Amino acid sequence: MAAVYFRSLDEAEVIDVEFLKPQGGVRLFKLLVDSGFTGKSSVVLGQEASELVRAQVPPAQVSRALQGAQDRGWVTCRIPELNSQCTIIAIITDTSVLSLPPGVQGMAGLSFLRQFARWGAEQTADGWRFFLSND
Amino acid sequence: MNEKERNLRIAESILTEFAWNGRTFREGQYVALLDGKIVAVTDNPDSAISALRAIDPDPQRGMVMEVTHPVVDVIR
Repeated sequence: MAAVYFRSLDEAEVIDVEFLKPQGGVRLFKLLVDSGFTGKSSVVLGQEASELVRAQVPPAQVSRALQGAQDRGWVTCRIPELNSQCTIIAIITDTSVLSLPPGVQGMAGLSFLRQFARWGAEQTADGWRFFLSND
Repeated sequence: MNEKERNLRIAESILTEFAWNGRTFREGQYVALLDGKIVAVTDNPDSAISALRAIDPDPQRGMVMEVTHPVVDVIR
């Protein structure tokens, strides 16, 4: 059974995702998990992630925590433990308005989570953890 | 009109009418645009991006769109 586990923060579920740079190499991002983030875009990343964009995407309207038309790009990410790689749409924006926990660089939404067969949180003897699974 | 604006003009037509300049598209296709022209139509984003980058390697130029009805992203 292929699953990867991420220790939860006190106030949030988080996952670690590798993003491939178009020119080679990877960058690791810790992303807050929010299944209430819906739409075609899969993740929100800060402006520092502009170097990860492989191609632009037409801007989309965003509502609630972010507002208005947001710049978007295609990025490729992977979860090495699951041998999983996918090309998804990222909103590239100023993430300071999202009040992310310290050490968290972006958000992963429902369209990201639904690329996996199962996902969720569970309590263990060591505390809460979030999991992604291909089975 | 700059390169991005020329691409967006086509993208808006495809998103609203699933058509541009007499050419029709079906939902789920991916269209690569460069310099106000359609340069590839594929069934997945990776193929469209690869086709675009084979013509112009600059990630700041061109765009790839999914043919779909406009969707508002909601971030609570």
